[in-house]
Amino acid sequence: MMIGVKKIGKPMDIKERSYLFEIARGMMTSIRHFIRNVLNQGAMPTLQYPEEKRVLPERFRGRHRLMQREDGTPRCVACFCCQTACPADCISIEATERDDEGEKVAARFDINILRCVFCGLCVEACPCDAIRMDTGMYELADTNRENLIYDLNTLLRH
Amino acid sequence: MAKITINGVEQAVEDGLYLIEAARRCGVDIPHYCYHPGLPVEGNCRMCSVEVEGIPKLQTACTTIVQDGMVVITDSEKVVGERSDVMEFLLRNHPIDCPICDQAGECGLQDYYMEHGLHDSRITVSEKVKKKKRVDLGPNVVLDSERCILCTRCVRFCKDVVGTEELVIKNRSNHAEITTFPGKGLVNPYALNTVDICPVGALTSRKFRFQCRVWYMKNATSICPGCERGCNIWIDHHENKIQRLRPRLNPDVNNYWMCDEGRLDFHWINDDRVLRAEGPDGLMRPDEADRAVLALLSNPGDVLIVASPRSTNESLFALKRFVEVALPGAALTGGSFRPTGDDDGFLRLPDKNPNSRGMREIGIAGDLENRLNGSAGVVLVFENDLLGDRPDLESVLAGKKVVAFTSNRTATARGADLVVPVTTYAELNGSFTNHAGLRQEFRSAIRPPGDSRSVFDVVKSLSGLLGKELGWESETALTKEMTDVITGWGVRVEEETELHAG
Ligand code: SF4
Ligand code: SF4
Ligand code: FES
Repeated sequence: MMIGVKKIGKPMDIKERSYLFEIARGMMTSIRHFIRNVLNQGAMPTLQYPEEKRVLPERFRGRHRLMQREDGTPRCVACFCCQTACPADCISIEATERDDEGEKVAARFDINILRCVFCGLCVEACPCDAIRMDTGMYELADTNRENLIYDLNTLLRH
Repeated sequence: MAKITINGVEQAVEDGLYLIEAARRCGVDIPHYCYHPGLPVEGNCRMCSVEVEGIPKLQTACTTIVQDGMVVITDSEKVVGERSDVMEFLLRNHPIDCPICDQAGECGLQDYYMEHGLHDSRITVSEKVKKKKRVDLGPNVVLDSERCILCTRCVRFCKDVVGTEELVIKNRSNHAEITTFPGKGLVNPYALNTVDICPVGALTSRKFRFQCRVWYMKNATSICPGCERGCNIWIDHHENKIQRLRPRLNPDVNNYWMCDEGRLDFHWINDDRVLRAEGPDGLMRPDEADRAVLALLSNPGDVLIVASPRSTNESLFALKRFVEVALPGAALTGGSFRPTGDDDGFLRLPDKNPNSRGMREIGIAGDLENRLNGSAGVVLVFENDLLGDRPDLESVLAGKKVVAFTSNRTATARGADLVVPVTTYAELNGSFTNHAGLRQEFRSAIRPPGDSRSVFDVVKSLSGLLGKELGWESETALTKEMTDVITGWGVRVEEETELHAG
C-alpha cells in the first residue's frame, strides 16, 4: 500500500503571523497549569525519583529470572522455546544432558538485556514456567556492556 | 501396467507395486510409520489403512500389492476415523515430551497428530507406562524407550540392510521395548541410519543430541567426501556451522543410507580453520599472500604443484589450466597418501578420497611419490595433507620451499613456509566424480570463514599477477568447458528435493 501525504491547513492570518498574540496564548496555558499545581501539590504527576518510586502494576514486565525446582536445580529444560519465540534474538542457550534420568538441561543460558524489547513472549512460550519477568527490576543501566548479558547464575539468583 | 482407481480417479501404475507406493506416485500420500521404501514391509503400525472395494475390512496399503481394476478410497470417513484411532493408540503411552525431544519439528507423531489425530487424551500422565529414557544402544545411538512406537524400522534396518541383527523387541504389549541382544551393542558402521529412519524421537544420535533444534537449521545438497562412493548428503547448518550430515536419496549411489564414519566427519570444517594467510613474517592479506607466492615462481622449472583427489573437479581443472597457461615448465602431479580402508560390500570403499577418478579423468598424473623425491625446490601443495598422512616425508620436504593451500591447520601447514587459506567442499559449488565415473554436483552450504578463497579464485588471481588469462569469466564457464571436453561429464544428476524421504 502506498502512503500518501495530504497537506492540510490554511494560510496564516495577520494575528498568527505576528506571533506575539499566539505566544501570549501559549503562556496562558503554562501559567494556568503552574497555578493549579502550586495550589494542589498532591496531585502533581512528577515523582522525586530515585528517592521516590512509582508503584508498579501487577503485570509489569521487568528483568527476567529463571525459576528453580524444589531441589534447587533450574526448572529450565533447555527446550529453546523462548529463544525461538524471542523477536529480538536476545536469548542464547546451550543444552546438555542431565546426570540423572536422561533429561535435558541448560549448560549456558544468556540473556542479552540490551537487545530485549520486554515483550514477554519468552515467558509465554515456556512450557515449564521456568522463565518469568516478575522481578519488577527496571533499573538495569550499567557502565559496561558485558555486565548486561545475564548468565544462568545471575538469572537464577534473581 | 495396472489400472487402479484412487479416490475416484483412474490411474495407470506399474505392476507389483505396493499400494502405498503406487498412490504416492499418483500424488496421493497415505500416512505411514512402519513402511519405509528402503526396507522390507512389515505392516505393524496400521496407520496406512485404506478402503479397497470388495474387501469388507480396511487394508494396509503398505502390504497390499496393486491389482488391475482395484478401487481404493483413502479419504472416507471410515479411513479417517481409523487413522485417528490408530494415533490414539500410538500416543497411549507416549510421554509427549516434545520440548526436550530432538525430533520435535521433524516428528511423524507431531505431523500426523495435527493432520489426523487432534483428539483429546483420555489417559492421564500417571496412567502411562513408564520406561527408560536414556539407553545407550551403542557408541553412537541413544534410545528413549518411552517414545518408541515399535514400528521395527530400526530392527529391519539392522537385519535386512546391514545384516548385523543387533536389535530386537523384547516383552509384549505395553511393556514391549527395543533392545540389543544380551552382550551385544548397536555397533555396526551404519548404525546412525536408524536415527534417520526412526519416525519418532526414540533413537537419537549421541553426537547431535541436544546440539541444535531442527527448525533452526537450513539444508544444502552435497556429496560426502569420506570415500570414493560419493554418498549424496544433506548438510544441515545453523549460524554458519555444520550441525549434522544426513543421507540424501540417490538410488544409483547410496539409496537412503550413508556410513557413520562419513556422517560424523565434519568437525574439521567448523573448527581449527586457517583464517588468514601466514608467512615467515606473520599474517598477510590475500593480495600480499599472492605476491609472496609469486616471488617463489620465478623459475617454473623448479616448481612442483601437488593436486589432491580431495579437491573438486572444478578446482583441479582450474589448477591444470593454470599450470598450462601461466606456469609452463612447472610440474603438476596429484595423489594422496591417505590410509586406505576396506571395501565392506555395502557403501564404504577403500579409497578415502572422494575425487580420485575425477583427478584421473581430468588428466593429472598420479606420480606423486616420484615427483616429491625429484629436484623441484618449490612445492605448492593444494588441499593435500602430505605430512599428516606420511610423517616420514618431512625429510623429503625439508630442503624445499613449501606453500600449503589448505583449509585446516594440518601437519603440512605447520611445516610450510607459506600458508594460504582455501575453502572446503562445504563452502563451494562444485562436483566430485565417484568410483563409478558419476560426476555429482553439490552446492555451497556455508560462507567461507576468514580469508578463505576457492582454488579457482586463488589461481585466477595468481595468473592475473603473472599477466596470463585462464580464459573463464566465472566458474560457470569453467564448468561448461570441463563438462564439454571430458566425455560422460555432461550428464547431470537429478537433484533430490524431498527433505525427509520415507
Ligand atoms: S522456554 Fe522455558 S524451558 Fe524452554 S529453554 Fe526457555 S526457559 Fe528453558
Ligand atoms: S526405535 Fe524408532 S525405529 Fe525403532 S521401533 Fe521404535 S519407533 Fe520404530
Ligand atoms: S505403514 Fe502400513 S502398517 Fe505401518
